[in-house]
Parts: sequence; C-alpha cells; structure tokens
Amino acid sequence: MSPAKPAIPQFPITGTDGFVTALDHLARAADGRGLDALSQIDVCGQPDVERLQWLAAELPRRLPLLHATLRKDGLWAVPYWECSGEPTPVPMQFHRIRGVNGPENSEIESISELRALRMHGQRRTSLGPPHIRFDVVRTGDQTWSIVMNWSHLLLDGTGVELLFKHMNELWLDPQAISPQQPVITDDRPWWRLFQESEACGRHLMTLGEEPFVSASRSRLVSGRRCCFWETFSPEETAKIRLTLGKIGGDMMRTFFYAGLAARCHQAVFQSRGQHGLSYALPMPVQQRPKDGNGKTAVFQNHMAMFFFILKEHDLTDLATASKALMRQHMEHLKLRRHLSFNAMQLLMRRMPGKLMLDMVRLGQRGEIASFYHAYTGSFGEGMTTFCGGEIVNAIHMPTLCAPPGSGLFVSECRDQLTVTVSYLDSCLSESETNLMRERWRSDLLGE
Amino acid sequence: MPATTPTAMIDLVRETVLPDLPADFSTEADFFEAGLDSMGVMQLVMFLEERFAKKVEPDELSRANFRSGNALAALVNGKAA
Repeated sequence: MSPAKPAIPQFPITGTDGFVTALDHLARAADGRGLDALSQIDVCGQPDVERLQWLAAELPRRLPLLHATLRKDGLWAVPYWECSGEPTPVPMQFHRIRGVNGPENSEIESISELRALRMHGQRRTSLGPPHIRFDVVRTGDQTWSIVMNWSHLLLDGTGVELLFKHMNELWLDPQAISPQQPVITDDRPWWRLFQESEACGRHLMTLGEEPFVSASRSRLVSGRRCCFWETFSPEETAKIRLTLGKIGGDMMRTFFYAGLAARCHQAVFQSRGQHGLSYALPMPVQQRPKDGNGKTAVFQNHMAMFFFILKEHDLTDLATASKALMRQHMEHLKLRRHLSFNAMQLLMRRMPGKLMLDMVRLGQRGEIASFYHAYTGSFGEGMTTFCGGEIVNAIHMPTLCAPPGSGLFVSECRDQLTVTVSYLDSCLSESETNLMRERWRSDLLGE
Repeated sequence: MPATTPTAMIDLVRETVLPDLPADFSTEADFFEAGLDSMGVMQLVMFLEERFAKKVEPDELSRANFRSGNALAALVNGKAA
C-alpha cells in the first residue's frame, strides 16, 4: 500500500481578501491588469548578487503561499489559496543605470522608467504565481535599490514590509525561523453573518444618501497608472510632527493623514467647481494574526474597515478634519460597526467579484468611495538595514482602479515622511496632483 | 470616583484588548511590546470613557499615555505625562 499523499495546504481568503479580489476583478476588467503595486527600498553600498539570488530561491521554499494559486470550487464557494505549485525562485532581474559601472547586462535610463514599466504590469491570465517579482538596480557607485512588484490579492503594504523584513532576517541568519501563515476559518452560518452585517449595512446605506463623488465621477474607466510622491527630509518631518502635535497625540496620526487625504481631494474637487460635497472615506486598520512563534502573518489582507463621511464644514482645516474622524471612529467602535463590517465581508467573499461591486455601487450611486487612503506607519517596523546596507528611504506605490480613481497614502521611513498620490490619468490631471501637493505642504508645513 | 490603580488598568487591558497578557505583567511593562496596536488603543479610549468616565482628549492620545499600567492609571487619575 502506497503511503498517503500529504494534503495540499489550503488557505481560505479573508473577508478583506474578498473585497480586494473584487477590486482586482474590476482592474482586470478595465485593462487586463490586476491590482498590482510597487514598493521600493533605496540602500547604501553595493548589491550582493549571489546572496540576493539565494534569497529569491529560498523565499518560496519557506513561504508556500508565494507559489499558491487562487481557486474557487463553485459559484458561491469560498475562494482559497492552494499551495500546489513548485517552489520556483521568485523572478529577480539585475540592472544598472546608464553611466554607472557594474556587471549587470541590463542598462536602463532611469529607475522611474523601470517603475513605470512595472506599474503597468503584465496582462494577467491566471491567478497563480509569480505573485511577486524583484528588480535590483545599481543606481550609483555606492547606492542600489530593490523594487518589489506585488499583487494585492496576496499581500498588502504592511505584508510587503514584513516580507522585506524577513528577507533581511534571512540575510543576517539563513537559519532564521520563517513566519507561518495561520489558516483563518470562520464557521458561522451565512444567516448568522447576515444578521451580524445589519448594523454595517444600515450605516453604508446612510453613506449612500450623501452626495459624495470621486475623481472618476462614478465611471468605470481605465487609464494610465500614475504615482506622484514627495518625501520630506528628517528636518521637515520633525517640523510636521510639531504641527501635528499641536492638534493631538502621536496615536492620532491615522486620523491626521486620513484628514489630509480628504483635504487634498477637496482642493481638487473645489477647483472643478464642485463645492459643498461630502467625502466618503474608507479607512483600513491593520488586524494581523500571529503564528505560534509570535510572528506576524505576512500574507493575505487583514484589515478592519471603517467608513467615514466628512462634510464641507469638517474640512475647514486639518485639526477639524482629524477630530471629526476621531469622533466618528469612537462611534463606530461603540456600535461595533467594524465587527459588523467584518461579518459582511465574510458573507460577501463568496460572491463573484462583479456581483459584489455591482451591489456596493448600486447603494452608492455608482461610486465606491470618494478616494482611498492608508497610513502604513514606520516602514518595516523601523528597520534600518536591508541585505547588507543601510536603508536610505523606502516607499510604496499602490495602484488602484476607477471608481474612485485616486488615493492618497502616507508612509514613514527613517524619520522621513512620504506622501504619495496614486491615480489614473483619466481621473486626475498632473496639475490637479500639484494642487494636492500645495495643500499638503500648506497643511503640514504651514507654507 | 476613587483613583484607579496600575493593576486595575492591566486587568482592563487584559479583559478588553490583550487577553493573553501574562498574569505577572508588571505595571512598568510595555503594552505595545505585548501587542497593543492603534486599534486596541482606540478601544481602550472607549472603555475608559464607559467605565471610568474618563474622556480622552486628542492631545492625550499619545503612545506615552498608553504604554504601561502606570501610564494608564496616571492618565485616568488626571496625572498624565
């Protein structure tokens, strides 16, 4: 009798994954490309090609979700990741900027050119690997950058930071223990989830009653994926912290930056002559599970979502906006709306993506939100070195679909704050991103 | 309302947001290192208001005020950093 084959590991998608899967479907319907993003770390020194290649090969051996495929066994079944693929190395290419000496055969004009190429991604024909790929670029005699192109289906910004952090752990200690992905199950029957979704459903209906719009004006449109960002120096970042410290304590940062995202979009909408609008803002708050060794889960999207409405009078300045968000957040917690929304997401993860978004848009007059926003905090929980070199800076470049067609994201690395606008050029113009920049410099630095 | 104690604050944190907090968690030990996150802080703000009638103002919403049992007790007793 032959020994039984070991079971193939399977990971059901989380409630948040369900919504991201629907958005990925929307992105692919628009231009054939998935909801992919880029993250970049700039490092001092020179890249160690051999050891980086070892890492690219080692990661899938340790982290089986990197070679998993997203499957669904029936129209209303819960999709799941099946780790049946071979642990082939993560694609990793090496380049150098024209004029910089190095052994790399691939010479590129600039790193921004490479990013633009990757941001547009490849047309996705399956939901299998590779879910991430790396480009390592020698940018100077003593500087290099690593760009990770990743799929939001499997990772979110915080997960990407944890993956970079684990790469650095393996660099320092090849025997380091890898984080194990917990299998998240929920046995509540559909009718129980339906009951528990009610509070959130009522809240979302009230959002739909407000006349909010997005940069895409509720259109399902494609467009060139663009990112525009500004990194503030440590001195400017210190000044920004002083400005924010006059409004509230450091645990208010999530509200500051969500308020900033709303005020920057307000500047754009007002320039379009759209006054007196409300702004519907979904705010993700990380809720990542840990494995038996206390290591935080790297993969899948794990967020509690909160939905806010900011009216014109809430947006007179950053302090008013931040406090309005905090007030609404406390109300959400008291009414346990985040738990209700979790239940709703778990219920809806069974739905085909198109049906899920059609339902959301039906309740919101064609829109999903006014814009997206996330604040990811200090990059990699404060990591200062990566694969043998000191980190200079690290940033995320998310992509998104329309509606809403734009988002504003904030991250920090080594005491440098970065504000990033991600948008489709069919929804936001370059001059409008400049308006946003004027607004954030005015709010954060008093200029 | 009588002044609260650091131990009572540790019990509150264990009961509401960090159920796995060890029994011997000291009044100086760091809640954030034990897993407290921004979501947990906001939940604590809610419980402080409900149980201790302590309304946490935006300028009190700092990491220092939620770091330990001692810090939380000082916040509730009106002696925050």
